[in-house]
Amino acid sequence: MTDPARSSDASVKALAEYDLNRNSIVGRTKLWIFVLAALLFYVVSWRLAEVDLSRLANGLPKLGQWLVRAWPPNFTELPIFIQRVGETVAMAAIGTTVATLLAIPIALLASRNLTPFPALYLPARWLLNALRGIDAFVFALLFVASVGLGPFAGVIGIALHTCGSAAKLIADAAENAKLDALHAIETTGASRIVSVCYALVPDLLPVVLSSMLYLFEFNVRASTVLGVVGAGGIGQELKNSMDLLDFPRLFTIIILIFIVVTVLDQLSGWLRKRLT
Amino acid sequence: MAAQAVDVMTNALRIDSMSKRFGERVALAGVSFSLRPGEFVGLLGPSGAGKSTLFRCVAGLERADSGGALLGEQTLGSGHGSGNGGGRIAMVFQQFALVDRLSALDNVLAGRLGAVPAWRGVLRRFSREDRMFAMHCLERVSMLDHAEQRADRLSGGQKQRVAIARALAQKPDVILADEPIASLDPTLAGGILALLRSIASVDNVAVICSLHQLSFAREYSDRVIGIRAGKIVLDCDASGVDDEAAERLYERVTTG
Repeated sequence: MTDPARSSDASVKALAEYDLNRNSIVGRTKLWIFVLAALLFYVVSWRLAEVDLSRLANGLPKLGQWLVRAWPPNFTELPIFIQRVGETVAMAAIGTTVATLLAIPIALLASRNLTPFPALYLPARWLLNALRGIDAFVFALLFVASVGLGPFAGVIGIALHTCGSAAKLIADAAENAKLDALHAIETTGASRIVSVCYALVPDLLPVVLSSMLYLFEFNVRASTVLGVVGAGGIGQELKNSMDLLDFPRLFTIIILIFIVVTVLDQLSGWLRKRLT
Repeated sequence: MAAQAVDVMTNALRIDSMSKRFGERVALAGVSFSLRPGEFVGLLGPSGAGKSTLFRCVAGLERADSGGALLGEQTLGSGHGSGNGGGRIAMVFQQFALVDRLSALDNVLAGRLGAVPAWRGVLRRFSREDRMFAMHCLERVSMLDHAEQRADRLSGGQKQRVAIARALAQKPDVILADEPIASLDPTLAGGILALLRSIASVDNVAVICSLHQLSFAREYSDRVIGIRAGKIVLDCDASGVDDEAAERLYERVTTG
């Protein structure tokens, strides 16, 4: 058995050199500067966010009282709630579908390997980043002002924001797609468009549908609050109840949202699993 | 050879009718053999014969359905992780299985993990003695100059040398090498096998090494074990393996 004590001079020297390089003063200084910068970042963030645990301690009992007063839930207005939840789901469904349809051509432009106009690659990516950077909530706020109150403003908001996300997901999938089959099919004399349809669409279609379902799940959750800015759906009732301090009504709506979101998540998750 | 007077006590490892099935498929059907200290055994057999399953069961990565393993005089427990005799069985893999983002030295130090307190492993703080020993292991595989390199910067042959150094750092009684040269080009392959062979004789470790090339097995092994459909069909001195025996070992199974 090899004995550590028998280690050669070369090993001893190598270990000394290893430690010297690993624990150099420059390296240590860099580490400490990084640690200090991170610490400073969190201190400043804590201040800016006005984190105040005593306010939380004072506020929690109030919340508890509301919860007590919220019982029992009030189902007398259930038909109107169901209609509003229906509006919310419909906004998410139409918005997501329109977004995906719009996203397909943009995604083609925004994938480096497929774009027919390489000059438009970067502008397309910028457009997607801009669309993703502005929340559906913000778009809805703008469109409530221009097309008026109601779910239609919500649909436009969701469609614009989701279009950015969907196109990015599809474009990333397209950029990672294996192109050998595409090239092989192009050598048969097929045109570019036919080759893409034949070689890439079978691989990409499940990705497109799966991202559409994923974004739909996300949008159902996001659009429950769009009513707060007047863009229709159950969020409107949520805000009304809070304004009236009608806690049983509020509680009922929250339960309803929870049930619908959970059921749709499960359903869409099940569908996505079947796609792959 | 001194180990000629065979006796249970002189075995480094003894496997007794080890069996393993995956659902319907039988991977090992009662495999028995023993390894003497310092012996280099080549394990031959067609793909799917059960070579990797055998190694994984012996190393404790997989649980055998029945049969036992005796390491020296110690019975090996079965079940994940508990079966490798506290690190006294070391494994070398076809795809090297190094931690890409750690240095060569830190990868070799992983070989000491079975013998040091958990906090040393979590913080990657090893005693000077262990670090010195790991460096010495790197020296033995001629990788001293690459101690600081991140594992993913090394070439295939270099990675396998580091992996062998990691096995050495376990101070093992047995090294299981699962197709250690299948991912390397032939010129590097000979060097790796020569290294494993010299470790076997210098450290008195039993090395069993699965291989696909009969020529390599003949050149480097003391003994050759042939396995086919989960059964041992050949076990003899390397010089005794002729082309006919090899042909029988690799002959197509026509019943399927």
